[in-house]
Amino acid sequence: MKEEGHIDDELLGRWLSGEMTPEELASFESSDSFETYRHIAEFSSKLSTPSFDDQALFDKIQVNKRRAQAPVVKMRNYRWVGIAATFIVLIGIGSLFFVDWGIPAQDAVLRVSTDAETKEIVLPSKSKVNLNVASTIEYDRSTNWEDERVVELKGEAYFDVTKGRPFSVKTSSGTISVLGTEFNIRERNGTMEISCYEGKVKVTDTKSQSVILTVGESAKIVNGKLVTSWTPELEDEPTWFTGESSFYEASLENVFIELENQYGIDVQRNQDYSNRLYSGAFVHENLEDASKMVFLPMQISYEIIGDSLIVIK
Amino acid sequence: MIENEKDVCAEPVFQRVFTQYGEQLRNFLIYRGSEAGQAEDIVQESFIKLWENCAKVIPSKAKSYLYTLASNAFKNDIAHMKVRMKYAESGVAEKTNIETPEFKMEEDEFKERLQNAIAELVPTQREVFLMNRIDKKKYAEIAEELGISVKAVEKRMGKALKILRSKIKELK
Repeated sequence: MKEEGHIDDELLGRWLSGEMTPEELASFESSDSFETYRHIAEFSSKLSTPSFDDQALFDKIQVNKRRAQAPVVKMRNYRWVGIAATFIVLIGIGSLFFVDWGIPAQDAVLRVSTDAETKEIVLPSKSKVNLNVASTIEYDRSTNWEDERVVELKGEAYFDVTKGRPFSVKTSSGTISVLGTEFNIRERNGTMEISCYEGKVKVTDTKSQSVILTVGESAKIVNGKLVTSWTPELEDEPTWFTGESSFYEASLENVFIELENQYGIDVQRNQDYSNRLYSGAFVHENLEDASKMVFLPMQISYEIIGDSLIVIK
Repeated sequence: MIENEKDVCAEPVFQRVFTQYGEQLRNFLIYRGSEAGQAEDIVQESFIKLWENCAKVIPSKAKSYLYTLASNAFKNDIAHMKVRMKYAESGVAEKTNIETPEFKMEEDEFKERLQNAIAELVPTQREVFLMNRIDKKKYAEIAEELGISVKAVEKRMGKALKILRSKIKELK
């Protein structure tokens, strides 16, 4: 077998960490083997590990570590443990009564929704959320944000998460957990799109399949299942920040929903467009322009009458 | 912040160490050749040892301590499996042919050959390669966890890439 242009192991290794010099890279990219290596790198990053139930395993560890510890605890300490335990139970019951009689339970849960406007919210841990139109975010103010940071999202939002405790976003399509980073989630109509703009994000679907995204990478969950072969080109920030909604291989039905959300109109269609895929963008400040940007490339005619947009065919 | 704690004995600190490193430690054991259930047992064992020695471990050292414990436990353990990783990908992407100056084959065939070639790597190369490709770790992180130099990580990555390429090309 002919081996062209011997490349040194270390030098080749530096390719995947982005540490080749521009000259080294140029020469590597022009070699015959480059395309093979590029495919190896691409497909190997789509491999995954078996699902991991961290809560279950942590519970086991909690049980077993107490057992491991037990022999060294003196009798006297046992009594203390007993007293402490009673105390905790009492507090637990006490607070239940409070919830029943006094403060309404939902007081603890803060819900912020947008209709036709966008909003910026600062969470207790100083992380920021930009909420796009027609979206809702919910979180529990009574939980200790030092321990656990969890928010629930319906719709689309951009997250700028401060470093610290693990931060997760729950949606009906799956959970995103984060390791201090910036990312965008769009969850509409059973499809969730996640794009990572800084740091690392872990995406887990409803079947516990997961993938880690780094800067510039995106993933999509369709009906609860992860699709990692979806690779849009990302700008420096989500396009809705600058007054556009952009799509990459998105179901046309979801584009219609976004049009309805952005303009507060009703898109009337007499057939299902979910199998037609749209890649492109529409502007937010002018419905006529926006409609052209969606319908012209798809070769679909339409008419705007009052608050309705009628899709003809 | 976890870094400001003097040791890992406080429950919230211990739990945070688990949330941060539990899964990647499990993955590392799988890459090295452990079966998934066995890997979880070793993770559990390592965290219990960490707990027993919690007063001696500062949080910034917990990670390398755990990796040392886990790899020792696995060394002494018995069966090493042939690790075949699966693709996370599912769904609708259309299948294409892969064409390089070196070969042309269907995407499915390429993926299968890659899986097999990774399974045949020696564990020291496979773990480094998959920690980077799946867990998306930087070389410096991998070096810290395995107690080797960044240069050694580069070398193993390069070796792994070369072997994968030649295995995929061969017998075409």
